[in-house]
Amino acid sequence: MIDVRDLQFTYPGNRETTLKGLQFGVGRGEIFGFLGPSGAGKSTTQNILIGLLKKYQGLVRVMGTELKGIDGNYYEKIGVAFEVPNFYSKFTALENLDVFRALYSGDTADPRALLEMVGLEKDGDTRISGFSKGMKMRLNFCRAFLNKPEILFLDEPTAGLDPVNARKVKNLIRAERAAGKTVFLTTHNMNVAEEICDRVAFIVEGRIELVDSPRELMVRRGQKKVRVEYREDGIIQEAEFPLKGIGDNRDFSCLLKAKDVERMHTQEATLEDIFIEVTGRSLA
Amino acid sequence: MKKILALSLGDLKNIRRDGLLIMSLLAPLLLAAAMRFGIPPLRDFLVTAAAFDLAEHYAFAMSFLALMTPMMVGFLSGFILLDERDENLLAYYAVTPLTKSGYFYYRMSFPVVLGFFLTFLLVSIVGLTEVHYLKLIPVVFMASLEGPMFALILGAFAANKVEGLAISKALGVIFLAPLAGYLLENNWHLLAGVFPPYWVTQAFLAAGSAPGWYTFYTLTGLLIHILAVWALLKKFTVRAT
Repeated sequence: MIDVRDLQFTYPGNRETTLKGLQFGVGRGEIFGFLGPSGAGKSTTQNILIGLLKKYQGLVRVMGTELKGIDGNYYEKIGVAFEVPNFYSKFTALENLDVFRALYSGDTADPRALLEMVGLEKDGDTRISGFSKGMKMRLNFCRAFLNKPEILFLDEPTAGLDPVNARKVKNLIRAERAAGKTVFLTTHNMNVAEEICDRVAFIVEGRIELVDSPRELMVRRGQKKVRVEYREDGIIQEAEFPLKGIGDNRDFSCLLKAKDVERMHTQEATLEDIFIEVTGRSLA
Repeated sequence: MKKILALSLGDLKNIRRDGLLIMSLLAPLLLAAAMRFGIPPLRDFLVTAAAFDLAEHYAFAMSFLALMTPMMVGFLSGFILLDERDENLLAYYAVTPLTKSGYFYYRMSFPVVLGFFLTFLLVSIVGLTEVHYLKLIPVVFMASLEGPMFALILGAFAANKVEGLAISKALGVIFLAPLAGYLLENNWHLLAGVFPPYWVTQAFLAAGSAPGWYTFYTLTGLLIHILAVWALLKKFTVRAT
């Protein structure tokens, strides 16, 4: 669905190149996470992919079309949710969606169904000026589905959401994948990436340092051990066992039988650890 | 077509919900009503009381209406533009089939179309002077370009709506340019031509009396308005993006 080769970009008037030869591809039905600290080139890449910056070098194809030559029709097929919600504050949620819906000539989703999807069904007739930040974020998120897009570009979709709504949003993204849609997610939230992305790319200073599946990364780069925490005479104790041959490990099975085990975790690395290790940079 | 209709309905809704916008639209209507019903009795009074015939200045009064109507429509569009800029809706429109240039075409055409029809209508209804419709059309079209011009002045120079309101009031001095054109006897008044409104009133006044000047004022005025809109649009896009 997305094919990027040797993508370079320099902002007009800037000496330094912002993107220094990016190379990656995103397949149909994939959730692809684009991770990096602020200023790494995430937004620039996203802006190129959504057709806003056209003076790039290299090849960028989305759904088989080179983006340098696109027109308004491109937007019939993609959905975009920016990090900061943008709406007419004097209009209600439904009035906003109705205005934007009329911009599409293709099949569109029912605005009420979209509101229901993100739990805003009772707020359709409320003006945006009366919305909380979280409500605006959810409306912003569901608006990206208005034209039933093939590809969704989501920028920090869970920012500003409470845990319940953040989970709802993550489930909706997964449901899109299940429906064969492609999701390009820009974030610096490692937990979100860990939970829902099929693959992630780490971008730092205009270069992609690594592209892989979060699960693979976490397993491969972690310690192949399990840590057991148990309580003995009221004090919490810890023990670690290698994963290799753990079924036959006598000490491990004795401990499980004899002790009051409270927690047990494999020691895979977190995505954040890996990011810092690979890039030498934290995400803050 | 569906897009334009949806955006126009959106604009109407915006106007209905904002006192400032309602006032911008009402102002030319109130002025027209005052002219239609207030000026003839005032003339009668002045003729008898001061032996002064206001009718000599009817044409200028009408040209003032032709100038003020699109100007107010321009401020109205400017306030909507400021809202859209501040709420970052340009960024969203840029990623819809409308696209950013489509948005600009619409936002600039809205005041031209509304300004044109409203001005034409009001000038015809007030009718203090005889209206020559064929000659009126190019002048009213030029005047309607004041709409995008004033909208863009607000969009390019105001940081917010409060500043926009201050600028719109300060721009009242621009009316001195047409006044110079009307009052100065020698050709020095051409200097006032750096202010686009000058050309609107001059072309309007020449329409009835001086055919050669009428063509000169209309063509030059159109050119100056188009240049002004183009320059301001560039300035605005730099600020908005």
